[in-house]
Amino acid sequence: MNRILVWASALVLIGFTSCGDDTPDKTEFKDGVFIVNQGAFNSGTGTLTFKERNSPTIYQDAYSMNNEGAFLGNIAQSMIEHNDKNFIAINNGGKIVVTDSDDLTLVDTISTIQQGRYFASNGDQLYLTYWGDTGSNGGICEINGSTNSIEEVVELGNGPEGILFVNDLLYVAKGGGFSRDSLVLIIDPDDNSIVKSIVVGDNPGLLVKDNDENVYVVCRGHSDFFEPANNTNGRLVKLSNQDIAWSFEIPNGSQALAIDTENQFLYFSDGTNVVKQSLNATELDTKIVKDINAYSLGFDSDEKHLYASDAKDFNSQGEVFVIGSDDIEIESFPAGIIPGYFYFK
Amino acid sequence: MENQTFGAVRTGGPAVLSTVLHRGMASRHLGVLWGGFNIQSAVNGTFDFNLIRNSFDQAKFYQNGTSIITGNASMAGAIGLSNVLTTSNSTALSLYRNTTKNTSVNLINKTTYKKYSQHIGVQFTKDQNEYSYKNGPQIVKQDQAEFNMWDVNYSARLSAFNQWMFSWGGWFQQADRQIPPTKTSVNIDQNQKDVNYRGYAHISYALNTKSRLRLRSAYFNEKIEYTAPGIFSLSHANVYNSAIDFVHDSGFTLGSQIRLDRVDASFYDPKHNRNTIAFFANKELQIKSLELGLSMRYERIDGSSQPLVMGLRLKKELSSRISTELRYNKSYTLPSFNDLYWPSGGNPLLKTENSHEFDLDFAYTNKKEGSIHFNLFFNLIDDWIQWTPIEGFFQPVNQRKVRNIGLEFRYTDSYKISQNGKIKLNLLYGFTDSRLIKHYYNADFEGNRTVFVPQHKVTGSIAYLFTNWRFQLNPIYYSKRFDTTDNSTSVSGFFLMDFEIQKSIPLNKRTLSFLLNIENGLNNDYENIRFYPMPLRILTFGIQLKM
Repeated sequence: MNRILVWASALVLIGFTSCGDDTPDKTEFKDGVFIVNQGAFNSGTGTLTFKERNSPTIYQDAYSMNNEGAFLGNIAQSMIEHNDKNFIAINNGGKIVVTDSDDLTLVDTISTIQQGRYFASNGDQLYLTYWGDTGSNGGICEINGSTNSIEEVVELGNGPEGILFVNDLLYVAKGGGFSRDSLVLIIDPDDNSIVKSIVVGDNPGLLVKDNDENVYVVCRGHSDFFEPANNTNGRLVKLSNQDIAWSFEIPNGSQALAIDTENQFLYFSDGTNVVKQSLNATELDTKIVKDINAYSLGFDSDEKHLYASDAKDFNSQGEVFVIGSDDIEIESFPAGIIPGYFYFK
Repeated sequence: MENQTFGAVRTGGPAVLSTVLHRGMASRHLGVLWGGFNIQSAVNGTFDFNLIRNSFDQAKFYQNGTSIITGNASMAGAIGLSNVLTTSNSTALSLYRNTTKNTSVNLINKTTYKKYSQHIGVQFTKDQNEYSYKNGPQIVKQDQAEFNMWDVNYSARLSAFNQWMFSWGGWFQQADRQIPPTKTSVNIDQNQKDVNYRGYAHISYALNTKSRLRLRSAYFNEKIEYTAPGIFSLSHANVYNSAIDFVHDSGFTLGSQIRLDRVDASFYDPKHNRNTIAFFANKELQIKSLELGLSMRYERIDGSSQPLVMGLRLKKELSSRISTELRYNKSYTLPSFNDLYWPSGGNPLLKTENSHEFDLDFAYTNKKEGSIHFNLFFNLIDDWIQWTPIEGFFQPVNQRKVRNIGLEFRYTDSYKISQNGKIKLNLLYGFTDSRLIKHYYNADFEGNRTVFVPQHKVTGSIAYLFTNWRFQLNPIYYSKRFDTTDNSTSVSGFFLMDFEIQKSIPLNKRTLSFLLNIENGLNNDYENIRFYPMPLRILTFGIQLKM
């Protein structure tokens, strides 16, 4: 009899606790940095790590945490805030995940673009570069930030990568996708026509700009896996007024790009180290900042800190290093698998 | 096969590459033998178990390293595919259809005429693989995993003139499949086509009543074609094997083998070859109640000496029912052609992987059908090859040293519970502690468990046989498996139960059988590889006419 009472009491307790409003308050992510982790290649899922500013608090897998364990999809590439929403490009998952900008609650999914890469927003218009299903049928698409739909698609060819609004024009680096390209295209977003093409170097990647609307692009260089003798070096290029202001040869495999507009430095990874280069230099004059081949870089212009990610073996938790303006490492913290993009909020 | 072995199947579901990991080693370490030779792909060093269907009579699992027999790539043991050539005639025609819209027709014919025996197995499979799986709270339909296959295998034996024995066989396979998307990726049009022609011929000549000379040859012609948007790749391997050995009934074998691998792939330039010559010897000794076996194999590949393969076996009958056996093997595995020559990262400087394997077996036989096997194993693998990013590009390197320790327990028995009814039990439990004990590039990973290897695996079958009925349960349990080097993420463990009911109806000299098989009968949502969807419950109906 006593045993029955105990069980009955337990059931009643479970019943009461279950009847309560158990919807937990969602964490808000307002002041800090998002690290977009690509996730393991092939079958993994991307994740978002959020690190609060001036706080040791880190949320790993922040999206999943606030969306009942849902996952973003394979290879989370980049993100941006636009129209009070976050747009997250899921490359191999063939979609754009749209979330609330504060708590990451899923708002919508756009599933008509394959291999989405990077976003650009001028506050009014939102664009995304994409590779298409083959890497050679890529382009840019304009996204309606209110209806969460694709408004217009402009086909550009091989693997468009970095994209940037500059003086009301769009700059798009044609990274080559799975092959080779060397152009930065300047596009008029009013009619999506190509205004100019500039040859910058093999396989241009990310773009950044300074306060004077000068554009900087890092070119990875060409890698011919069948015939390594055909490999070419990378280039670091400055574009002013739609022309090349300077262009420096850098090692093949150079990647990632960030800019400190106040102190006038560019940061990139030369395949071995994170290095910095003065914006106003007349020659390549790089200085090692961190001895890792960073997979991605970001510069927090609020705190004047450089963020550099180490993807390690691409099959374990990555690590993020925070470096002060004096090139001294301030801290490091773990991220998800393959931390590939920083977005500061 | 999964219910009968300790090997852990690693699969992404229907139509996705399926491999077997055994004793903490990789799939490339487990040989697959047919016609006496290893048929693992020379190109990628693995074997897709999707391509083994039931046109064979038996798949024998060799738990211990078999490099003495096969040389390269059998450190973790081997699975031997063969047919039983009987002295009676029979034909079995089977038809299967399941709830995922999969259909297969299977014909097996065994014929004997005087001193000639043959087995012919023909199977046609048309698998739609339309199944449901859970993706969070949603039930999602998978319908991009079609798999169609023809499989014809033939083996024969002829005993002639008392001294001569001939055996030969052929195996043709053609499989076309869609490679389905994962839970996290969008579907793109990926297809794979496998076309394999294989043949072997063995001649045995009895020199006298106790010794014979054997000549064995085999030829494999294997193609894999893969297409995806913007991608077309074709690999074509031609493999020539020939071996001659002298065998004496006292337990002495001495022989030599030549193997030529020719690989022509659209992603390699130029073609690549591998030429192997091997010499091997084996001696079995009986010293009172102790059996002693010593084996050695020396190989030269493209003119370079390879690590000596050695085996030692000690067996002692402790009583009429209890025996114990200690085995040691020293083996190696070569890098695959992809490891060496893949255009974006292939590393021609790779060293071979080396292993030391120890194994202690206790066997207890209680009666005709009952036995207990208890096996302790320990193995070390040096220079484990792993694809890893170096200077921004993935390439294979000799990355780590791995230590595996474990035990395997098998209990088989049968109980007669009535005049016409009995229960047959076959229970297996495998424990594997597989760890990375040295990492040549990042010491932080040392001590971590290796990926994809379950620490615990429980499986087996419980069958109740009553006159012409058979009721069977096949449980499978895998504990969680880590899928990242730093062990930060893992795939949850899972428990599955398959049910099987079979009714046989004798019709004169024929037997008509009906089969109902329920895979994943408990309808569990699970993953074998992270984010690869696995089917919920599947019902298969079968009918077989045996004459």
